[in-house]
Amino acid sequence: MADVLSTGMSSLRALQRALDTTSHNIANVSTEGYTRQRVEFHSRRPELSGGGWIGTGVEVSTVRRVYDQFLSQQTRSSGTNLARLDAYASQAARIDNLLSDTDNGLSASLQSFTDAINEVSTTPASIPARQVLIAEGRALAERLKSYDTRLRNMSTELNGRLGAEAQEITTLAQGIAKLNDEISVAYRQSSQPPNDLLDQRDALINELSAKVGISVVAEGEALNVFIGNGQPLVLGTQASEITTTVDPLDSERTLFALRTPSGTVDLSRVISGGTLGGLLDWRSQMLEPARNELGRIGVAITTQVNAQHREGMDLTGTLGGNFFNIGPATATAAAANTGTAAVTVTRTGLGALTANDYVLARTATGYTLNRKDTGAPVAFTGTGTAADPILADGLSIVVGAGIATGDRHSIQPTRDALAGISVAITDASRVAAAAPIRASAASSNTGTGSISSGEVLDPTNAALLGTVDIEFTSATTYSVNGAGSFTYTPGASIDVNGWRVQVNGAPAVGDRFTVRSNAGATGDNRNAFALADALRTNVLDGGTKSAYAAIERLTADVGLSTRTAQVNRDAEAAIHESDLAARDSVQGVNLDEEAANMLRYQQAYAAAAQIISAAQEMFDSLMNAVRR
Amino acid sequence: MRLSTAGMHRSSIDAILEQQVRLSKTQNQITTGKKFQTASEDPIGATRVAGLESKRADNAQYGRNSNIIKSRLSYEEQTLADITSVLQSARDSALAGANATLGQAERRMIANQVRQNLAALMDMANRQDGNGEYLFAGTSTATRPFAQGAAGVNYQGDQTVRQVRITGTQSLADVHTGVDTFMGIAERNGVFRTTVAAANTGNATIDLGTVTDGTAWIPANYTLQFTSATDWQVVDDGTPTPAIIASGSGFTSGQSIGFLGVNVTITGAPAANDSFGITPAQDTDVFAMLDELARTLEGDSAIAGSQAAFQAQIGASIANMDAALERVVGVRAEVGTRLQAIDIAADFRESEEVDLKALISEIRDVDYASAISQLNQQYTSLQAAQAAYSKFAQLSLFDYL
Repeated sequence: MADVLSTGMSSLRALQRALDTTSHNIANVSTEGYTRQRVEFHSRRPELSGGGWIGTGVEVSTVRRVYDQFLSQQTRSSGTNLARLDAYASQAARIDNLLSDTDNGLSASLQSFTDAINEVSTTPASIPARQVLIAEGRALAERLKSYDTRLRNMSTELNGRLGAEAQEITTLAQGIAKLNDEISVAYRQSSQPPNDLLDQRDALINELSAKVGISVVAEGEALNVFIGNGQPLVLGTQASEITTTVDPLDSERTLFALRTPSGTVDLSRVISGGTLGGLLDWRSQMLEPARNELGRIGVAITTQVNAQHREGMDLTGTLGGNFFNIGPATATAAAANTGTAAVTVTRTGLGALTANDYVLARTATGYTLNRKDTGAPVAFTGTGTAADPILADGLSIVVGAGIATGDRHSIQPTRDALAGISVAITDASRVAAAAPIRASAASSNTGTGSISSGEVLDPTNAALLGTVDIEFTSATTYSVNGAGSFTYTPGASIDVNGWRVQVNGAPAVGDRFTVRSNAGATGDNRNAFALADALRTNVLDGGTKSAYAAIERLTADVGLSTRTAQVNRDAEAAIHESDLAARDSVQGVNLDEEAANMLRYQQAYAAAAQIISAAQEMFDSLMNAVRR
Repeated sequence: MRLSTAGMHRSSIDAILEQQVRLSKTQNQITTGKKFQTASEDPIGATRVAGLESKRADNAQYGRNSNIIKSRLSYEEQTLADITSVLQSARDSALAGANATLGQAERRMIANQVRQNLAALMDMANRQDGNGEYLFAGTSTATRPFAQGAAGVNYQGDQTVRQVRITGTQSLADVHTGVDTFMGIAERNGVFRTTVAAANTGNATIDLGTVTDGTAWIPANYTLQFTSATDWQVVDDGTPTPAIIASGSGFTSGQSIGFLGVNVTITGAPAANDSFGITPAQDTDVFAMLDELARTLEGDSAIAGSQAAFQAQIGASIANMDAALERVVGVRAEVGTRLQAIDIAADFRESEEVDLKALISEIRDVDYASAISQLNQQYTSLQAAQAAYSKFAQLSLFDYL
């Protein structure tokens, strides 16, 4: 009869475990990464008696995690993608918001500046109109600069964030390595799985995968984690350290790197997925191009305005200088260079100027020039000497003495341009609204010849402002300042001293046309008129895009990328959501289910207790029978 | 299929959050009246709106440009109207003065009027606009354009006319320069001038003359000489011996004498050795013309010493006044054309503005009817999601144990 007692006891013990597990499940209903556990029962070994094999009760074979490897992996992979897209989209939205300000944005500033030029063009003698022009110029410069500063700050901020992320990734890796160790110890203690440790490790891996794309490979009980294209982050119980380094070609740029005994390995290019992947993608695909493009727009505006302004004359009768200052194209030597050469870069033309950065490398036989972002080679001419500079993409590159083979220099044509933007003139009278020359026909002329008002070809010509007489020595010939005899063709250009005029009609012998300095023409607006047109001129990208169009294009490009990122993010969020639901439908705790289980186990427990009590009664009955 | 409790809560909450985002977006659209707030919400629309807005801003600027140039041109037109009446009055004076019955004292009185006309004309030519800029100085607007010099009135401005943009594709010339308005007018008949020699003893006078064949005329100084009362010859200024171009005899008063494609008429009785000059016309200015008229009426001996010379000279002055009037009226007509162009441009800009506004509105502005119905719909579905969640969240088997 002891068998009934022992069977009942086995049942009580097993159901006790089952209720333990149920309560554990209920307790962890909200625990992130918790996998529901289930008690596996099996019946105990039967005993042979006269009547055959008699069952001896129940025992717990194991407590099992209801875990689906495939669903877990799928959830992790969509989580990595989602984190990347989410980081990208939310960062992209910041640039989008910055550029989308239609009331105070870049287009509006440029528009106000153009309006101010127009105002000067209409009332060139008005000092207030000129003051407004200078103020609007400053506002435009400030606006461009503040955009640049905002983008630069985003870049600095990202550098800081990369450092923090690197630390966190290292911490997570260490946690995983430690759990690998604890799990193998637990397995060695008994062959039973340490379910909660496994859950913890999975949770850490999920957390890590949300930060950066990883691949996980099981090796025995341990999980090895690899990052990038196969660099080990966790090997068994060993974790590597993730750190940040400074881009050897760009001191403002932090790279994400793996520390190895022999130094650091740059991971920035090979990382994909996760928040970090999203941030790095955003930096190289959006932040840096946008900043360079903004610089290029600044260069286009200032170059156009300056060139035209230099062709004008101000109220003091002096030729106009630069209206804007702008930062130069910069070149930085790589930290590892062995040579001492300095590289000088100047922008030579707007049409070919790009928003790319470049890397100039010295080879044994010459130079190579590549785009910094894609590494694509760039065609160039020249040998890099001052007499024969390297010419490529609207840049002129001169390499100083002391270059060594293997030396690299990074070239930023427009990145630092806006850091140096400002208005160069402060005095309203120095706004060069007038053309520097005036052409007139002598009042004594008897022919019907007329002279055009003239245009400036070369404002640097020293004799530009000198007085020049064009005198007709016959109906078909003329002399310039009394010298030479040139054939007259009506309407043909006459180029002297850096200016150009046309004479039309039929001048008579002795007719005289004079071109002289335009000093005193306070009401002349010819240069201001040309200035207003200059901003609308298509100069960028081979003369197909104005500064206005470039701003619109930049805003549209950023808007489009942001939108794409957001749409992808939303799509990935839906995928991740369904992956989570699928995983949770297998692994998650359902309280109702637990309640039912609890009820079931409680009832069985009560029944088992009854068995004990029945055994007691059976024993008592037997004892009573014997006593009698 | 089983569901996890945490999963059920999460997906319900996610759904509610998403509804809230949508609702807030619609609400934002309604409060701002714009379909999109950032370029990412509608990249193409945002770019198009930026371009269209920029065009509108340009048009507004062109409107301001037009207003400024319009006020200057209107002022120029007003001034030209004043100048026309001054010249008209001078011409009337010339006609009155030409009357042969007037005595020298009366002519002097008329001459005084002409002098006053000349002074008024100088003032008008030196007028300044509301900004203190000289109207007729070209672009040297701070320089007083006309000043009396020893040899007449000098123009001190320049010959540059500024252009002002009034639409995206059209620019318009501002006011005329002093040269365009007052200077370089061909005197008399436009080809040659006729003069009566001061030494003439006969009473014959010469008219303005006409051109019968412009191609035959060779500009040079010619002299019509009477070798007797009836014999004449036209000689050039060749040295040492002038060449005889044409000659004739049997002259009678009022006879037309033609040579080299021009005709002059001599009226009266020339004496032997009387001569008349026929020289190429000069370009002169309105001020010089008025001065000449005044001097003629004053009986200046250099040009109107005799009755015959006076008659020839006063006829020339009337022709000059006509030439000056023709110039001023021509300039005024041009100003009228420019003012008209401004109005046409304004109409064009206005209709473009309407188009642009409509386009921008179509791209950017919220359709309130549909937005509000959308808002209601989203509101209802959010409410439903919340209600469903609160009901569902209360369900638990534990309640029944």
